[in-house]
Amino acid sequence: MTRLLQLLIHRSARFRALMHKELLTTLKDRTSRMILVGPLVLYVILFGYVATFNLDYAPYALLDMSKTRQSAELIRAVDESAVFDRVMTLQNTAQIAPAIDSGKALVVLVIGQDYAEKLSEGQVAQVQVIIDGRNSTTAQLAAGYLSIIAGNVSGAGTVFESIRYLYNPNNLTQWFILPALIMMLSMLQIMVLSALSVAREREMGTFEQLLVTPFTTGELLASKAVVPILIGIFLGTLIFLISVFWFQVPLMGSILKIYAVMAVFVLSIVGLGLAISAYSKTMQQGLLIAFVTLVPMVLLSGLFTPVDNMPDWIQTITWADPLRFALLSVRRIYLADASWAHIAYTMIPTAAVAAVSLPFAYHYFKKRL
Amino acid sequence: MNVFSLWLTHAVALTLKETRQILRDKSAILLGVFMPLMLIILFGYGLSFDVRNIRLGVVDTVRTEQTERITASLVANESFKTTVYVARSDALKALESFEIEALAVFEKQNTSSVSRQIVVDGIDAPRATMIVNAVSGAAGIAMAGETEGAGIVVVPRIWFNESVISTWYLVPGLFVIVLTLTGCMMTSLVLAREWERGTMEAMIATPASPSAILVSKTFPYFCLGMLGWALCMTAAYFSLRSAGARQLLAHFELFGFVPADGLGIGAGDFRRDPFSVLGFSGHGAREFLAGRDPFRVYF
Repeated sequence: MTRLLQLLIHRSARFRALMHKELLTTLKDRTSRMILVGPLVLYVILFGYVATFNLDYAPYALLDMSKTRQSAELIRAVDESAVFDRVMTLQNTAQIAPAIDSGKALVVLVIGQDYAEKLSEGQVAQVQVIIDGRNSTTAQLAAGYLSIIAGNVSGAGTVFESIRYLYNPNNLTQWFILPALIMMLSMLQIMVLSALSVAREREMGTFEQLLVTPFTTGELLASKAVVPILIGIFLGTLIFLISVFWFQVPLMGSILKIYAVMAVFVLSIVGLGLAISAYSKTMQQGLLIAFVTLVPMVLLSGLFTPVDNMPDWIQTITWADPLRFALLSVRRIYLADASWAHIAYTMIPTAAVAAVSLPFAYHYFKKRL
Repeated sequence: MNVFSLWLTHAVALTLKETRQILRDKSAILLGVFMPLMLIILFGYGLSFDVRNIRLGVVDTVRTEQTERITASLVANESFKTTVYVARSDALKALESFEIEALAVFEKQNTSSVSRQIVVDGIDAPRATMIVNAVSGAAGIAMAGETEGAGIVVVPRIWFNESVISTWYLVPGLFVIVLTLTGCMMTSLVLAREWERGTMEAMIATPASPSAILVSKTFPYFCLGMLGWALCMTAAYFSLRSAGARQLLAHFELFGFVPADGLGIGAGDFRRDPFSVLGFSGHGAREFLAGRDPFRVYF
């Protein structure tokens, strides 16, 4: 019994020493510390302010061929809307092309000559909207807004008079992006750190020194995993705080749930990173492979474009992407306070990736010794 | 032998050396060729702002002719997977457990008027907007078929991209991003590695001029980038039909790739230890990606 206790104390002491060494190598250099935190904060601020799919400003040009009281009424309604800003008033149809081509106007509103007649005759009056389709998202939004305005003017109203956005009442893109960044940005750092960890030792020749120490493979691998995990959770917390206190995205769910998701997710990423690191011979190789894995993981995760919009065969691939379910869970916890049962169910694929990648990393690590 | 032919000999020899190094390490080829190709395929098929497969719920407690017509059109529409609920509470429960994404409710208000409401899961904000537009649009068409007569109809006509397919707007911008990324990432390491291994000293000691060394570092990676580029173009050929655009893109690529290479080499020389260089170039490239205005296209 005493011997077992002694062994345990001995083991834990030497593991602490190993951890100390790992933390030191990662954090001793000022530049590396800067690289870990600086750009990350920058990204959060950048994404928080820049990434918006909401249409706040649409410059438009007007071609009014009707020039009647009825057309003036419609024009007034468009001008009064907060979104549309008239930058040009055109005289004839020949001026439409230059207005769009030059990019000065996103939209050209064309009111035909027979507009007033048709309205007074009780017929359908067409208003043509020419849209700059080089930017299809904004184009669709602009067309949608104009339909609503026209519907209000004609008095018919739209079909649905009230629209309620559950969990995000003002439908802000920020609320959609920021919670996701907690996972996405910490993933980038964890992946790069863990992918470089073993490769760096190998390249610098210190791997040989590690091998002559009495540490077991498991201990070495654990020490390589713990540091990226700690840093990843620290960074995730940082982004979380920025999101709550700087951008004031209200947190609806519990912090505990967010950290539970983070724990599972971080394990799966560290597993992938270490497997890459153990596999690659040089740091360059490690980083390149990590990069080639990261980019599709981010693209397929639904960070910017919904997974549901993708074709079915790509949706099948996204099941292997741990980020997808981590994002889904964290958004649902953050904004909608999803239940533990729902989160556990959602996180199954991510946990499966962790369950495969960690033993895989161990296997590769052992093989390379 | 004059000075230029001597310089050329050096440059060619060094380029050959660099090429052999690339061929020995497959990861550069992975990044330069495989990655752009994979991204084009993913972007071309995967990333889409075009809304599909909307899981919609409908609750109709008033059951007028009009609301039934709208409900029928929503059920028939292929963009929606519509479920009809009897009670509002059931539907809301389904919405809260994320089984459906949006809910169209027709209810009787206090008097004879009918309240028509959309409740949408707003967690995915961009998709929520698209869903609202799609549901309103489909319902609007169903209504218009019924109410003949007065009204203003907005007819959108979209220039440059008639059918509003967002792939068309993503792909051209993507080309530039991909090639800048790969260019920057690949070249950032080459000088740093030489410094670290001490082979830079050996190279400087040779009679080869700095410009010859620089050319040898740039040219093979440029070729690799162009190869990836050519593959991308082939892959995109069938989805992107705009002859003038392709020409323009080719030029843009030439101008875009050289600075990216330069940026990478600059970073490599600035910080001579590989870890920092990787950090610099990785973040530099990503910053480029993040800062890139996604709403621009080089058509």
